[in-house]
Amino acid sequence: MHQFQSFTPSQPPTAAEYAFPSVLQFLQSEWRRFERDRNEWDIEKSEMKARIAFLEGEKRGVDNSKIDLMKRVKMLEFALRQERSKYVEAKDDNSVGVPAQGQQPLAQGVTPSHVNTKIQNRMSTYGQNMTQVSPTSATPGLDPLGRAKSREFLRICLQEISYLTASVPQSIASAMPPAPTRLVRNESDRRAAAAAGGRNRKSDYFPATQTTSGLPPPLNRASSVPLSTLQSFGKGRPTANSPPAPIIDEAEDATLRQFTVPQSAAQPASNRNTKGSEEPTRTETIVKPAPLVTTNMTKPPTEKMDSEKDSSDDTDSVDEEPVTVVHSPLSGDDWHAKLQRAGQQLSLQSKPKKASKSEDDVQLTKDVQDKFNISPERLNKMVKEWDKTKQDGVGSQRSMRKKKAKDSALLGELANLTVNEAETDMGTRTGDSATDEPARWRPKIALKRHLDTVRSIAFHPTKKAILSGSEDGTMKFWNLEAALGDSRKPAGSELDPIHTYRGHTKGITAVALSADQNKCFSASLDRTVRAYGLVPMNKETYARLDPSLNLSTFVGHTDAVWDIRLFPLSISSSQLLGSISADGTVKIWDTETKGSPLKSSWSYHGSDASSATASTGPKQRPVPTGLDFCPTDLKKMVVSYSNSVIKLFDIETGKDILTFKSNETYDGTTGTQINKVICHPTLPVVVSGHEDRYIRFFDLKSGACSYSMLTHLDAVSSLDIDPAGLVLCSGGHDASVRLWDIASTQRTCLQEFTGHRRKGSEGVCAVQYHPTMPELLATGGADSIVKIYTRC
Amino acid sequence: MVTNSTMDEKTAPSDNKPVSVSSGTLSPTGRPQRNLPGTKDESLYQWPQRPLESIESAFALREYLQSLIRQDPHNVDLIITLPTGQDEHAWLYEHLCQVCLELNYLIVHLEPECTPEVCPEMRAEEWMYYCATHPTPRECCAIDYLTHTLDGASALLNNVKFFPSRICVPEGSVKNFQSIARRLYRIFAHAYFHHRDIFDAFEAETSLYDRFLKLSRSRKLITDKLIIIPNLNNEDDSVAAGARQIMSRSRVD
Repeated sequence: MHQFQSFTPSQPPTAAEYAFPSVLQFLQSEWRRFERDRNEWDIEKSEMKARIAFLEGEKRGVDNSKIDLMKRVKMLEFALRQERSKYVEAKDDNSVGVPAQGQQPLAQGVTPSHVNTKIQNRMSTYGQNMTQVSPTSATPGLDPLGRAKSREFLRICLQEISYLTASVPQSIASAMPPAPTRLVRNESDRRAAAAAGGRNRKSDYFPATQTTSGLPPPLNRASSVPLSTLQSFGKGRPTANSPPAPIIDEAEDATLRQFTVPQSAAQPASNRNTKGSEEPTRTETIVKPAPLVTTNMTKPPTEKMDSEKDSSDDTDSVDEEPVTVVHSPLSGDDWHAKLQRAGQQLSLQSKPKKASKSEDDVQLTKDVQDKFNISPERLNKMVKEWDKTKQDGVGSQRSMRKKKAKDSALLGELANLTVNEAETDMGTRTGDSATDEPARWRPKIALKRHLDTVRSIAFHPTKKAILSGSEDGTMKFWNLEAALGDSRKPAGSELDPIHTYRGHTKGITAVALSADQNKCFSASLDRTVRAYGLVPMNKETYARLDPSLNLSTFVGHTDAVWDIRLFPLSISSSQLLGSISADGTVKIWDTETKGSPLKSSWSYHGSDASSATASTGPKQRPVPTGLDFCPTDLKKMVVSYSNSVIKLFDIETGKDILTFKSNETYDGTTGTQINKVICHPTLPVVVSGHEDRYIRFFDLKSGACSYSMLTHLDAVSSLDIDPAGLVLCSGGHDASVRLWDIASTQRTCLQEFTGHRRKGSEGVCAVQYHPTMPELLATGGADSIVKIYTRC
Repeated sequence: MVTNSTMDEKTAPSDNKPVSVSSGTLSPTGRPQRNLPGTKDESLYQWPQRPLESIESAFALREYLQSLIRQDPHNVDLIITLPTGQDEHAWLYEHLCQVCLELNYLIVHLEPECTPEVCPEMRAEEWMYYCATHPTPRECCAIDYLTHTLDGASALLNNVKFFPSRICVPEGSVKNFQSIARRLYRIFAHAYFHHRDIFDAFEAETSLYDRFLKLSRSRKLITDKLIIIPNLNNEDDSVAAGARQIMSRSRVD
């Protein structure tokens, strides 16, 4: 817009002669500007609306879960208070009976005998401690000294537990399957329930709740999205490998810290319970009165349910995501219709879920109420009372909304609790938010020296330098060290390339850089691939031309070369380069050979079936559109074709190993072709970007499509996966760059930004992560600019 | 006049358009104006010419200019004619960018022949030039002078300070056009006087010098006394026309 600001002030001096054409022209340009602005506003508005709808939905969900949680907390508090009073009564009756009670369940519990005696010994001492402490802990609100004491006691208990779990891990390990902690907890709960003996009417309900709520969330998600190989990768990470015991200890420490802060009388006791539920051998020893075990049991299912709900909310948001992100710059009406439809879908989806959830709730609530004979009125009264105390006795009748705001403090504690649990468990949600935060990319440098569309970019593997190839026929090498080092430098500062490589007689389509060889390569529409020496990083822009930089030209293709890729490894004096061309062939070149660099060449049917292609004729033969070597299987490479087929080839023999099931969406035109194909750096996954705006994921082993998502408003032009393999970056001809969380099963869009202005029907043409510096991302586009982004 | 000729041109490419192109994708604006990966040589840039008014991108003028050149680089008069309702300076700007772009290819052709040994000094006829891209003008060899000058010109044209917009050019930056044109002219001059065969072949293919000269003259970018390449119109027209005919024939084939 600023060009017009500069334009308008310059108008008055020349305004003396209002020539009709110039006035007309001014009006026209003004009108065009307003139209453009209005368009932009429309788009922004619809984006905002979608965001609001999404946020409102999310808020509703959070509110509901909050109310549920409050109810449960109230019930638990009540139950605990009851139990404690019972306990105090029992103690008054027979204070010596405490250690005996402690021993009884232990005898029922399993564990080797020497551990048993050990525990008994320790328990008897702690039991005595407890008799001293418990009177005060029953009324801790009145006695700060007592609270400190109980805190001290709990810490000793914790130390004891960690000592025991550390010294006799095999007794626990043998009893538990090496499964995620959540399963362990279920198991321990069940065992605790069994140990609690005759009193557990609750065990009737426990399996029931488990079947409704115990379904692991990832499975749930998987049922709503097609299977994904990455799923196991995403979910297995936090739990499966970690030994359960130390983590539990940590979590307990954390909960202990949190629980000792609040003033509520119930907390220290409930903490004891949490602990007990996580550690089976201690459950019986510490938690003496059986009913406590029951309240304790209600807790894990509750959490599970919440987390499941969270995850289902997630699924919703993901299902929405493509719709939410997609905005139509062309017709607002169409977009609104889409939005409405999406909204309806959302509400439709959320309704049944809510229903089933409330069913569970009703059941659970009923169970607990039955158990403690809490009438609904009483429960309401409890909530109200608690409300009153929270707000220092300001009227108890108030709107739900107000209450929510005031409750936030306690809810915060609650949230802390669940977060801690989640860390030991799945941690998906917190993990997401954690990756979300630092993932905000911001433009840092704009490299504006090309004269036409930038088609390809390549980072130096270890240095802050980038190579860019453009339709203007030049390849430029940029040293970014100074510009990136100086954080104060404004983003718009001018940077010159340290070298401009010339040699092609038509536009450049692809560039590659090999640091090992100190070489760079460019492919062009002029049918050649050229190799150059890399200039030193300290070269001056206008230094003398070094003719030795022109190394060699790979001639062999008989039509435009569309992409090149360097073999991921350079093996002693041999660096392979793969190229694809519109002549239908894939060629492998050895870039170190002086004589004839061409190693092998094959067409659509691979090297051994060249006779078969002769019958179809070269005209009908599908043309390769993208290639990549497989970092997970270095003998193979994938090539995508204009008929939307992806094929896996053996690099050595050129044999056609596997044909991916990727052409199900092919409609016979180039409108559904694949524009880009890349391999995941660490997993056997192939990702393809399609002209029909989809990104699809394929399993490298089976060739089956594991996931498919609509990602852009126009064709997907470029893809890259970050070096860690967690985020997919896609560039589209709709001029936007989008980042996708491919570690999670939902593949949410983490960030979206407008990358480049469109020229013709092209927008963003290249995206690239720095291979070793995770804080650098670059894009090249139709506006002749290369942009470097950093993460703060 | 412009609209008439564009109408004429419009029919031309659609005639020799390959059949496969007709079944392209239809984005909301019609066939996408891009070369998909895997596009064959003969199908490159095969999208219908659009009138300037219907091009909506920020690069409307550039797209329009490039499509004119793609259609017939030798139709110089049409190419340099300012489209109706467009800013004179913006049009000039796009032309100079395009000249820089295409001069890249001339340098590619010159590079094997114009080595520091063959042309140790930047000369054109009896003139010798100092390279002005350095803080203090230097005596670069010819090929260095050519690349430095071209890089410098592209840098200047891409400089946001001088040319913040593609729709209008600030008054203060217009004078840069003259210095850019003057320097670019020397690239042509060196090629003409020292590498005549390359110059002629390149000119027969692109008519770049012809376009550049007519543009510079009509816009008074270069004064007449600086024009040292003799007027090749009379003698060269026949040669160029012949070459053009050969070119166009080979194209059709």
